[in-house]
Amino acid sequence: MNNKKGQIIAFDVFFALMVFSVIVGVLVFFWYENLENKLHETEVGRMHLRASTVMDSLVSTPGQPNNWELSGDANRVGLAFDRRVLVKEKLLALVAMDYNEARQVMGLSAYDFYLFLEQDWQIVATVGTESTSARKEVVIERVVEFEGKPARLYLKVYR
Amino acid sequence: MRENQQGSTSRFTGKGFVFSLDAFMAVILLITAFAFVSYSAFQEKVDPISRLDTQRQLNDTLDILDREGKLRAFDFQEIESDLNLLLSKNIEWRLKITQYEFKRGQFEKASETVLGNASVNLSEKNLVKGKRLFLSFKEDEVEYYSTAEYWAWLK
Repeated sequence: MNNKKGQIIAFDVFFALMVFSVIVGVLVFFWYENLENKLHETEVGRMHLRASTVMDSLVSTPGQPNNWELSGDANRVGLAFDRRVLVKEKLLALVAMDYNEARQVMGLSAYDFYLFLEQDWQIVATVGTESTSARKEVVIERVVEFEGKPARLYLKVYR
Repeated sequence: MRENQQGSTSRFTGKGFVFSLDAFMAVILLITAFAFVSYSAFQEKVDPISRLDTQRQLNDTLDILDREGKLRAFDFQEIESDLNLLLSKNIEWRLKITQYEFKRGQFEKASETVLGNASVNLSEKNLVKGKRLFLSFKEDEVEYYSTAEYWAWLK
């Protein structure tokens, strides 16, 4: 062949471009999917951490002031008189508290929550409202003592 | 031109050849890109907050069983049923209770009992473990020094 000029075969180029585009498309799709999952996980992780901290404060501290259930003026809510031992009066005071005020003093003003105590398969007390259409939700569960018997306290935080 | 690499069309046979080095490089790049994307997308996740929650539930439950005197009573059936009742259903657990007696000026192992799931996968990423120490008394004197060692993981 005397003609030394390079040539391309149109069909080959077209086919190669197709394959290349499909591969790049798949990679981009996975990349964005992954990125979206990571963003979701980060936000859920933040909610989880917040809920876990609030729950720990509820089951481990009496709140601030210590007798907030009597004054009705709490800076921070706690339900325990000793670690993991809940006080009925504090729980009842939290049940009676306005939901938005409870969110505020529990440190959950950015979220909605539903707190409930279960003992012997019965729900003993509830605070807040159960989510019906939450996009993101985390549930924290702790084992506590209430009125001399083991019980389970659940905190659902959602948005 | 590359001597050792065939490309284009053979002068003699008219058959096409692949640029083997180019193809090799392209495949390597492709595999690297796929590996990078899939590594970050499908790598096994360690969830530190879930692990912390699991640990807290185990600590809560053992604390309450100790407070109620159930650990000290060594009623293993009751301990097992209480743990099954109180822990979340998505938690698998194993508890090893070891009793030590104070004899001849030192503690000697008296017994060892394993409750719950006997097989623990120690390489499980979300495995949590811990230990609780407790004493049991007889006529105001320490009868046993005991440890309750636990392993827990999510189902």
